[in-house]
Amino acid sequence: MSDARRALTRGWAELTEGVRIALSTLLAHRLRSFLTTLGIVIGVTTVIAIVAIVQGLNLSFEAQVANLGTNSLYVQKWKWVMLESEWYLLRNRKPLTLAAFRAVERDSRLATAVSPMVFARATAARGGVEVSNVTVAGVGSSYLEAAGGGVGSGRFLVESDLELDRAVTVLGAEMADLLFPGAPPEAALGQRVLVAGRPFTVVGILERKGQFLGMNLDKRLLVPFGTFGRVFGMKRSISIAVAAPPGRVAELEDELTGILRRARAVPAGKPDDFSINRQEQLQKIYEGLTSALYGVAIGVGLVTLLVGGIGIMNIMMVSVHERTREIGLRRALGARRRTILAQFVLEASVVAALGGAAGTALGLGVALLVALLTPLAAAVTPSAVALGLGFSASVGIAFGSWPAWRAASLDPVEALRYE
Amino acid sequence: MTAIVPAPFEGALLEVAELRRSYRVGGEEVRALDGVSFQVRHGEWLAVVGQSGSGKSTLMNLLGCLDSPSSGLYRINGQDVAGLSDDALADLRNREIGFIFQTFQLLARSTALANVELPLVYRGLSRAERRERAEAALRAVGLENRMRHRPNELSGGQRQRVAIARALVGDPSLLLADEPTGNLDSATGDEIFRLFAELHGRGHTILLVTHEPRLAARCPRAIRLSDGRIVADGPGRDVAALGTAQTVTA
Repeated sequence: MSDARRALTRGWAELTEGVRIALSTLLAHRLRSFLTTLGIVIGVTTVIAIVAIVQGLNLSFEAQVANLGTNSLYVQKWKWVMLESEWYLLRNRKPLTLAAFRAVERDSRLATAVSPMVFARATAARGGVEVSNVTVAGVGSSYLEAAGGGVGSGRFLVESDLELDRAVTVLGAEMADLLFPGAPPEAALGQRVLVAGRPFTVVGILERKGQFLGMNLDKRLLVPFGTFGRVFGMKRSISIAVAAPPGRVAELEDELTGILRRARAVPAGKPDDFSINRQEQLQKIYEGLTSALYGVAIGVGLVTLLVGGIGIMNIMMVSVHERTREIGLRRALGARRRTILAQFVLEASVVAALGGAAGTALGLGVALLVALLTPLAAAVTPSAVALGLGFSASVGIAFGSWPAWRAASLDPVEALRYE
Repeated sequence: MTAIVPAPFEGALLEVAELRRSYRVGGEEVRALDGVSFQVRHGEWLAVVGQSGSGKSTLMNLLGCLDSPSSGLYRINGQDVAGLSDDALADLRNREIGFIFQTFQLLARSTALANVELPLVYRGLSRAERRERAEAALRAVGLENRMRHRPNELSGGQRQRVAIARALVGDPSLLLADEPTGNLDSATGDEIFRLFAELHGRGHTILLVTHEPRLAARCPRAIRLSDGRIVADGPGRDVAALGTAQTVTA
């Protein structure tokens, strides 16, 4: 018991003595220590900055993908993510028709909202203002519930708009800005706009959604599904947006598969002739891309840390050489080999960890600067900081070990006599 | 083996019997120490004299447990040093030996107090206990006003006093001093020598390695080494006089 206690006290005393000696050595050779840690600082700065930026991108991507609705499924002819070879197969699929939408609406027990969707591009105009290349979407009255989003002012399309094929429209936030410049959103309500040359009455304006993968989600206008058919024709394949109760997306996907195979009479054993898309698929692709970026960051960081580590090893060799007599003295006074070993490993780790701390601070600074000056986002996460510090401390231990071992295996007699 | 080992001497602190240490230098065997036997009692003050190459340093390294003999017996405080592991030797040095070197061997960036505390760090004493004992040791060598000074703020004599305090602090059974006045002017050297006399008076066992017969003459007992063998062992005055005579005839 008292032996264990004494060993503990001794370990603690040796540790504090080691840290004290390490810091006083660092202070005694300020320039040398600074130059030594530079490699580590640069390495950690690089890794931390890249990781912070990538994590920032991830967060903003997640926010964008959430625009698609976390609980939303999209039944479509096309897959969102596919191989080139698949394109030829999918091209031959029968278009999805209103019948499929009806089948889902009628048969799904899980779906909380279902809406057909169909898209075209057209020019919208009002007075002297003309906006080309606008996305026009024909949708149902449950579209917002099925696909996510909300109305900023006015109202959304209602059942009667659809039944009567009314010429009414709900504008995306940016369309309101473009067609009614300088006016408050309410001023647009009740006004007439021309869509593909036909007059439509504005009944509502959507909340702003922002960008999604470079697409402007606010530069579009929604019209009743039937009205869309009258203007643009009904030959194209439609999409069906379906919302699942929270956490039951996979279940809904199974149910939809059954309903659609029956509705489209797909024989047993044949593959589905439709695709059910969801935001997760995009996220997976994106994560694949960023993990490659992570790989590059870690590769660059490792190379720099290797260089930094060699710098540390070099300076520790010098330090061991300079302090040969000190090592001899410590051995004479009762330091064991492993005490000497631990002291020099500790010293290398302190140098590396200080470099790591400086590099972490610098890296976060760089990331925040990038976030301020460019559209790129940056996120500072505790894991990035832990990564930087952990990395550098292990470099110190790894590259300090060899010089420390040399120090520990010095013969005390020789070391004491060393000039 | 037992035939050459004398029976343990009652009260002996150091027992040395037929101690040998040889090195291989370029395929040739050099006998630095060639069968040395003597004993040192608790509280004795002993000088080891001899010219350079006589085996003084080798003997000091062996007695200080810094080196292991090729053959023979060395016991300190009843503990046989032969076959001890490197760690056990380190612990033995920490407990039993207080080293005092010609070049002081102080840590330049540490205060006198921190230098004196160092052996106690390796003994595993608490911070408070280390501090208390180091302060007592510095007071014992007359440096109570220099505890926070670094070696470069101290005179040569003061530095050697710090080193002596460091040797005393662990309360070892043997003070092993290697030419402790060699780097000091004669007045300061005398001062340090008087400090040794004082420590001897307080009951410390001191082994003083020196090449100066003048110092050996003032020790109660001296051993003269030549070519790795003891050629004289007796009162310091006699052994030193023998040395002077030899130096004169040579």
